[in-house]
Amino acid sequence: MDPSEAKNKIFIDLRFDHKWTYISTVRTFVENFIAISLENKKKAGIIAMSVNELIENAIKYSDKEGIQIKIQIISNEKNFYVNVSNHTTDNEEKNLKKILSEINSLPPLEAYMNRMKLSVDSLNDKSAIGLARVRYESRAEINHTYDDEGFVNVHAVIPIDNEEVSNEHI
Amino acid sequence: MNTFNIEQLHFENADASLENDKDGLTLVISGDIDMRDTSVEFLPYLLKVHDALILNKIKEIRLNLLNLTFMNSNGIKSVINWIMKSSELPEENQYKIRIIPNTDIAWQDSTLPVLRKLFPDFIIIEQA
Repeated sequence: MDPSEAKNKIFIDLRFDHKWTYISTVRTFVENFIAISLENKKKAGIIAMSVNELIENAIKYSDKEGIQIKIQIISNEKNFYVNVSNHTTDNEEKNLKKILSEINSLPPLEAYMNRMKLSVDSLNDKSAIGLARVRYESRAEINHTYDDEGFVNVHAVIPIDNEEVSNEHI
Repeated sequence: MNTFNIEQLHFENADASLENDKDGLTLVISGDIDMRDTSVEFLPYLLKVHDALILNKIKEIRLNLLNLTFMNSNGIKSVINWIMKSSELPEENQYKIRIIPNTDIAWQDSTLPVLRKLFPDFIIIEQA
């Protein structure tokens, strides 16, 4: 989306050092800020959760101290557009590409359950369950870009008007 | 305090305590589970509860999440690890987890049913 074309209701732009202790503050800020203008308060919680998971990933996979994490949240009438950027290695970007491809190839619930199962066998904190969670809980479309300077940008497009996840099929 | 002498745990932005009440044994988790590595304190606490349940042949525990406002995916991973421990036991030693949710909290409303689908024989979700 070209931000200049959107009739933005919300615009958030944050940059911070990749310290884990900042995440909860950012999550709380995002939830409170969005809740001001969103009738569906639970949706604000879901978007804040999504931002939280994407920032956690950005910090886990950052490869350089002192490089900023950047997040941008824009909304129009239909969607929230969340972009999270961090510096990473070519190998980590390839891994992200593979995981996103796997997650996006399945229905959201199936992908989330698969990642839940796989997470038990994961020996570190990089189980990628968070991406599948974001896709399922927020009904987001997730993709990424990687530039020549080593910055990976993860984009999540979260629809506003689909209410919460329907559990009818569960 | 509870009959198993498992003390209340405060870790970062969350609290966990095991309580004997009129409905039996209840694990109360509140606050925000948002630490980077939940295997340091949170998972060991869950596994301590697991060991107490096995030792005392308890068949059901209530999990009170009414004031658990956030849980990151690492926290979910720890909960899955806990449930797996019960599912891997011989049937006569297994126990069920009866979750008391707060459906006003978005993540609980969406993720808890997925956990139940993943472990239908071990998770019960109380209706509000």
